[in-house]
Amino acid sequence: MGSNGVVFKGDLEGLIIILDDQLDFSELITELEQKFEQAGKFFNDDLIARIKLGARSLSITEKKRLVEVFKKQLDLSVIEFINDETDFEATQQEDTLLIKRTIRSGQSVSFAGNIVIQGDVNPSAEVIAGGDIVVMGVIRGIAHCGANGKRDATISAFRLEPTQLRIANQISRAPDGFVSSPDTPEIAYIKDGQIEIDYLRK
Amino acid sequence: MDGKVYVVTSGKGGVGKTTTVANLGTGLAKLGKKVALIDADIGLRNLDVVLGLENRIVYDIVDVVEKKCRQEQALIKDKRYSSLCLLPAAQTRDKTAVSPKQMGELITQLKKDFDYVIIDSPAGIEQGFKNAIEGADEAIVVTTPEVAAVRDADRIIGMLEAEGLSNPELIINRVRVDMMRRGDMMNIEDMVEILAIQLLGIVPEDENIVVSTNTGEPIVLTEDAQAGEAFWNITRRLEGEDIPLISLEEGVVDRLKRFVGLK
Repeated sequence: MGSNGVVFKGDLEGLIIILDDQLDFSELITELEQKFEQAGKFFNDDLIARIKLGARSLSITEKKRLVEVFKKQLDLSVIEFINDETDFEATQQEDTLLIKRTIRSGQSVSFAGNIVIQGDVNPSAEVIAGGDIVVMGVIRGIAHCGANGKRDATISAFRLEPTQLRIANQISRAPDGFVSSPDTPEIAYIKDGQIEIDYLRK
Repeated sequence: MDGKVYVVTSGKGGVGKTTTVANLGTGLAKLGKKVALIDADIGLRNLDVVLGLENRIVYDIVDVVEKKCRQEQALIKDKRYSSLCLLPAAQTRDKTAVSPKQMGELITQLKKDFDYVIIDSPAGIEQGFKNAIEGADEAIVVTTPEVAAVRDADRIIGMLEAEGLSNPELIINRVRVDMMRRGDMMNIEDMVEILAIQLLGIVPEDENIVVSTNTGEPIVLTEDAQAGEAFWNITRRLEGEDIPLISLEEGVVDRLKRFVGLK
């Protein structure tokens, strides 16, 4: 119990959970469950948690196991798994992060794999993914897919009304003045070195 | 020669700091001056929206301070006047992301290249305010004819004086002449007497402001709007022109009303 493979910290944006990257994974899970048990109903409703993994890269099964533990904490929603920055570039795994909330102004979500959002991305919010971004709602803020240089990454949404779209190192911005977008799902991708937007068919 | 550095501040929120910065900056650029506007409201930025430049932001003030980009990369050129630039705040960070020392260094750099540097201060008297006044040569205090706003302005003037900005100038915003005349609103003389600083200008309440801030077109470019005319006059006063204050006893509207026989 005296070990501190799991550390809870708070900041203005919510809870940070730091998981020791040296500890064996199963020990880590046990300790995490114990910590949650001790904490009891300590957490406020709907607290946002960011999970710092250090240099640890998770397999899909491990990530699922972790998510299961967090799912039991009904008052917590996990918004980000954070690796050390160097790791962010190194990991090439095709995992997907599912976020069931709207990303509001000033909030930022970044993840090495794909990101799926059940909600909107509001103005001045940003979503940064190593892979694809799918928003089951409206993108009004900034979406950056293929952030590590993956030029075939795409951004799709029920409605694309972004301030800016970024794919790999390509940037496009909304035209000035009032723009109306079609009331239908759209997808953005790079074609002939330019970001293009098309209807999302099928 | 180095440019002049102004900080626009108020203490209280919602009195029109950002609107003032956008309009004075645009007005000075219209007069052909090289102007840099700095949004110091990290975490709650708005100046980009009021100028209609939100969709151009790639880098921000925190990126500059953290040396993630060069200063020129973060400066956004205005779409109307190429001599006007905006250094936007970061939205995903907070006031502690920049220290007063870093702010001072940034401004020392900027004022070499511009005639005017205008800093949009956040509301409050905490670190954001301290960052905003660091490196400023002159201060402009914005207030409205409300007791709470005047009290906060007085507190801010005291703090500015303590920091060596001893001659701040005053802009009274959202003035409603009809209410003042009925005595339902603090009048200009009382406010100037309490605050005892130089009056730089009076801006009337104008519903065109709402449209202008929403569409990102500063009202100073619409000279037939009352508030636009007022901001244009203030701009020219900053440039040293001797422009009398808009007469409150007889505003434009009153003159018109009398002309058509309503009064």
